[in-house]
Amino acid sequence: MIGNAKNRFRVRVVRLGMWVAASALLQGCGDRKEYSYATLADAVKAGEISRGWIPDYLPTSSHAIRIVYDPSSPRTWCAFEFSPADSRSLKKNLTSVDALPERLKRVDAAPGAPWWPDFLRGDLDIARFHGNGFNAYVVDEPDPHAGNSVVLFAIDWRNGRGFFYRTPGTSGVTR
Amino acid sequence: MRIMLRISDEQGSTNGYRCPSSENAPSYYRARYYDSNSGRFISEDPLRFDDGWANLYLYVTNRPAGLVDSFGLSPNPPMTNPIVPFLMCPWCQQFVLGTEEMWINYKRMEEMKWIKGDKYYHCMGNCLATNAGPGGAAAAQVLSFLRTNVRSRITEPNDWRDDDKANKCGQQGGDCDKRCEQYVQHYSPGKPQFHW
Repeated sequence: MIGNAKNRFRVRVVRLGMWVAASALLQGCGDRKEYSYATLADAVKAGEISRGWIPDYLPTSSHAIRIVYDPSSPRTWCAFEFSPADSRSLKKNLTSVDALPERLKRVDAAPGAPWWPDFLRGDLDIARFHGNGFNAYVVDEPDPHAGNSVVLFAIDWRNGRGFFYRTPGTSGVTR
Repeated sequence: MRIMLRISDEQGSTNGYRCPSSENAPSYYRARYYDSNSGRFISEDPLRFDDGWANLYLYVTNRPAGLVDSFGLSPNPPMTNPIVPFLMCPWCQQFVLGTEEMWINYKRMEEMKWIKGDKYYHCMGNCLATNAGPGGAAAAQVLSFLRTNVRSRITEPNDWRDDDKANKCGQQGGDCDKRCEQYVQHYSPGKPQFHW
């Protein structure tokens, strides 16, 4: 008798817990955070490079940096501008592609970030990159222990504008 | 203490995290370690006689059903959560404490925001919740299932398996600091400052 009452009480507590968890999950849909930095130095100061969200080879002249990520996933959306004269470090690290690797053929729009361009949303097409003045590049971030990531860059060298999108996986592209 | 490593062969995961075995590993209770084999802490209570108990190695004065000692310092009715004192059954108290551990680690993950550092907090939340007792273990399993296997499976189809591995590693309980730090020890770039 007492055992049954105890069990019923446990079931109620579990149900309550599941209800609370379900509510938290729905609220958790807004886990992604957006940050803006006037200069790369500000982003460095905020720890975005040391924490791994922004690659350390972005041009030192990078400014107007906007970044969206969810700490519970490596997925990252970032926009930045830079001086076209200061592009050597970036160029050195990128691998140009004429066809997008499987993992990067589709990109979800950065949530709540209207600045994320249309040509980088949904099913991607290299021709649309070029039509907007951008070239496509990929960078693999191999990490056999913590999980590989692959980064898609769209760079407009002439006007010093860039975007990158990071997602778990590998590109399969060799340099 | 010898820690044995094993490689998980779970399908679909993209990482090489290794979860330390929990065999005979003492449980971490923040201030000291508890040996489940002997039912005693393996070091003296740092509060020594201040809490009024003569035996410095006992866990909750040998009455684990009614008391908790989450910090390894002194036996207390669980008071960290305002709901807990109103719950009569120890299992329910553990469930609430486990939920609290999961929430605290989620918030810490948000504060620390290391890329891929979420695996550490997945592991820690589950581990500390599991160490709270059977109710805490149930909380860890329910919350992790909903968060990772349901939500992340939809929102992060390329990442949820790695999170699931971290959850399962934490759910083995034991020495959470050691277990979870070893789990992400090869994390790059550089080892993050996980502690607070």
